Amino acid sequence: MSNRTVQEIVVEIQDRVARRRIAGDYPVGLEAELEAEFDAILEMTHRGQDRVESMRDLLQNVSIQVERISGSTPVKSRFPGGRLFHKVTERLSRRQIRGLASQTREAHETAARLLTEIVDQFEVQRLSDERLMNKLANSVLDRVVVIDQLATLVVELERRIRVLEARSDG
Amino acid sequence: MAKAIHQLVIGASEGDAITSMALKIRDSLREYVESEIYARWVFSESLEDDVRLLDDLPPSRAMSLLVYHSSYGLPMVTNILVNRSEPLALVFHNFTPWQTYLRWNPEFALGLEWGHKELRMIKDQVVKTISDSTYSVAELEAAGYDNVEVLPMGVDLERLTSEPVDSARARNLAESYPSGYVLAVSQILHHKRIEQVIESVHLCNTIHDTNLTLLIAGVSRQPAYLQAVQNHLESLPNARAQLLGSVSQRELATLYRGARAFISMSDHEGLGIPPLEAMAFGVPVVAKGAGAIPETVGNAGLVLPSDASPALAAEALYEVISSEPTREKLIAAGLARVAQMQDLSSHERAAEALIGVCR
Repeated sequence: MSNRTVQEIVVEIQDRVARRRIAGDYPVGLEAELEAEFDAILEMTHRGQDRVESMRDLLQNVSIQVERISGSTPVKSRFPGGRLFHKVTERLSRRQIRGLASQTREAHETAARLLTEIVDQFEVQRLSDERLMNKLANSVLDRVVVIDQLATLVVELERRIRVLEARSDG
Repeated sequence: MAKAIHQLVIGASEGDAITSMALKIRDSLREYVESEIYARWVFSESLEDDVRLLDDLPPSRAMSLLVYHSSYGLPMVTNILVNRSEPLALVFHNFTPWQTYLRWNPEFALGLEWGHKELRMIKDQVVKTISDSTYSVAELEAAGYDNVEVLPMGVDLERLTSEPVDSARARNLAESYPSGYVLAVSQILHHKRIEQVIESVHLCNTIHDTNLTLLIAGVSRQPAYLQAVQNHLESLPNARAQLLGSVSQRELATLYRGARAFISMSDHEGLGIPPLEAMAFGVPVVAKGAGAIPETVGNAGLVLPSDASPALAAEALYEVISSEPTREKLIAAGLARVAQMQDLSSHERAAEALIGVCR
């Protein structure tokens, strides 16, 4: 079993990280770069998904509310005879109110369909943007790979030149 | 004879530490008085028989004490609390710093921020205050509370360690990950910094060629953050990470039994039960020392500074998987720490403390 205390082990590990940072295993700025990359991903996922989901939730609420438009209201009353009065009024105007409720429901349903269409289009556009971005990112990465290979070749060429120069000097 | 003592939690879900704690306390309380759990939200169908909805909370006159588990603030719950006449017992689980969520989930951030206000608003009704860690006491004292009793009640490790061995699954894990796996057990939430866990294992594998797999067990409650984590792990394939989602007790026990190391990079923990679970299974722990983690883990795990980077965690992981003396030391210290915490933790003691208030 180790004689070192846990604190000593942690300090040793910290020293090891510092040494590896100097050696380039953990380049300076690595953590900031990783954090920035994740932040960018968060921006993307929050911009798209959450908003589409919350729009769908709102739409669902609209649909529920539209279904509940019936034109009927309770006939209860606090006043004597009030209940009877409301009942009679309701009977007399039932036809007109139900007609109005039906027209209102139809209008809201049309609006809800339109909103659904907009949300769907929004989602299609988002997915299409994502595909386009992925395509672009892939082509950029392909070119970066070529540049990386060129850089390796340049280093190798420089090394060979140094060898040749050393030989010619000798 | 005391009247009923009921508990109130904001949200109840299966496997959630606060819900499990409330269930244990309820069972202990029932030896003395009538006791139920009420919640604003019940997320798991399996809890429908155990947890009732807040709307059904009996009137104050029928109760001796209402035990309120505070971890998040909801104005409608605060309103109910301040309008009740029975005494309150506060079980405080700490609040995740709201600033963490301000940018990505402002609604959640507001709830966390409200929690601080609520503490002050209900203070005069509270006759007993219990905190699950010393770390959380400072927060309570800042809100004007004194005589806080520290009882780390959520520690119920036997529940997991007594799970029978799932030999088929254990074999499957060993065959699937011949170089071993690192385990993270955590809800997939911003402040748990799952992205840093992934980065740490990615760096460990990249620098040390360790070929470890990262298995992450835990439920996700924020789809956009989950999506971001999934995208991130695609861009860091060396982490060889897999998100397992919610797992059963048996699966969790099996995962702990086979893990080579446990990792947590969480920026905030009110107590930190998963590291204790890992230690109970003899798994060395690497954890960022944020919140109550230094107090909970003590010297039984590699507790890194609270601002530890993934590079530091990567080296710490390499240390625990490659150095046999370090492993042995941490495993022995971990088991001792678990025994110590289990002695401290007692639902019976919590129930007795609550009953004592009513006498």
